Amino acid sequence: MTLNRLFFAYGEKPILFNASLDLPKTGVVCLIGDSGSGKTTLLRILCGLETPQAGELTDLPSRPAVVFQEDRLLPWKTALENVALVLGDTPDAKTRAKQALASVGLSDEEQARLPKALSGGQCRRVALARALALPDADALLLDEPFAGLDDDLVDTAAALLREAAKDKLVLVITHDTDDQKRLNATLLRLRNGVVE
Amino acid sequence: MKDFTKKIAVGVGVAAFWLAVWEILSLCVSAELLLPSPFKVAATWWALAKTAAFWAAAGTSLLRVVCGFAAGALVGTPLAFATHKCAPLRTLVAPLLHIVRAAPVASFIILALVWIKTAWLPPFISFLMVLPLVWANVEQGLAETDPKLLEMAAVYRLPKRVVRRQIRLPSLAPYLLSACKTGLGFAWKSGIAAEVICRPAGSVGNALYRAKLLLETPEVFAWTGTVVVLSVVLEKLLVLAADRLQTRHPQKEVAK
Repeated sequence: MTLNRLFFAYGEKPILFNASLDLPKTGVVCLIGDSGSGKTTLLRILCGLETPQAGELTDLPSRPAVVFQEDRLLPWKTALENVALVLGDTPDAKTRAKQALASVGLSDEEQARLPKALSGGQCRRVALARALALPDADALLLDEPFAGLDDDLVDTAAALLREAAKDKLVLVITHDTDDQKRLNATLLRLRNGVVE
Repeated sequence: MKDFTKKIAVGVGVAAFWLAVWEILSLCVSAELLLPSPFKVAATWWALAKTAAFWAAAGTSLLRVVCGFAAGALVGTPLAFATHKCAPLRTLVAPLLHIVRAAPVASFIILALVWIKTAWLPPFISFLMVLPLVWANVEQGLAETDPKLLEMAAVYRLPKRVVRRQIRLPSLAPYLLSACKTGLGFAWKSGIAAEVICRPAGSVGNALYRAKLLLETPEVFAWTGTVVVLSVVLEKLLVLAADRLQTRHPQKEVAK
């Protein structure tokens, strides 16, 4: 995936200036930057939600699995249904969703709860499980995926992401430099709209 | 069960209180022509209820109101989808619907009397009253569907039918049900008003008009009570539908 001299602005406010980036097909990449540096905007561009005003994008993921800054769970669906929803009508959707949720430490009873009956950390795990469960994803794009998770759960999630990175790109957007060590990731820094 | 019994007891208590107030007032006024007692109204209602004409009139008016309401909901909902999708269409349609909503019902009834057959006027007026209400509520519901959920659906490439069934409809349900509940009340009020003015044969409105003409005040009360009961029954059916929806989507606060 290559981004070449991207420029993006929200109205009059420029967010990215000449941002260039070369991302591998597999492995973990951590994109670090301060608040307002353009990390989330970059992720939105990568998953096709924003179009840059200038620059070139090549080899964008055709089937990204995304964890947004917010969990974005359907409040009227249980944790299990939220994950199964993105897996479509496949016969093993429910099994796969259950496995993904179990892998992030959610019990059967917790999987049957609505998001409002889960803690913030549990909702985060559901969002993470939803991304991990997508079988044909060619990239995992994650915006602060460990927010609200306890340390032991962060280690579990990091192990899952390292495993996933064996056959796809895992791009983690974070402001915590410890995440790079946990994930054994390549580090990129975004400062004032420029990738360094 | 205990809550249900308590609710029933409270309901009966409140009804008994207002019936007592009514009885006391009628005793004070002491003129059946101005304010008949609840016993007299009940006796009149019972006498009416024993005739086939009563049930035929109630049934016909009910059918007219339900038809007008259903037509308003069935046209208003897709129209809201269309105007939500197409801004120019919204610009074109919105002022018209706002005028319909703001104009007095009587004006429409008098105007429509010139255009439409008497029997069709009440459902047409009910339709006109329900249409802008359903349209406005459904449009608001569509506008307030969480865009973040729609983005999630886009990123995960959820098919359109899944987005419609799993995101749009559950988001819309409270608005639609609230519109239907209010619209049903409007449909009754406007439909019966139209019947009173155009007086189609064998209708509640016609019976009300005749009772008023003959100064049969207890009959006016009895017919009005019939309309209220029918309206409450229909509203309860809607609430049942809302309950079913809420069972399917438990976190959604469906307006009751």
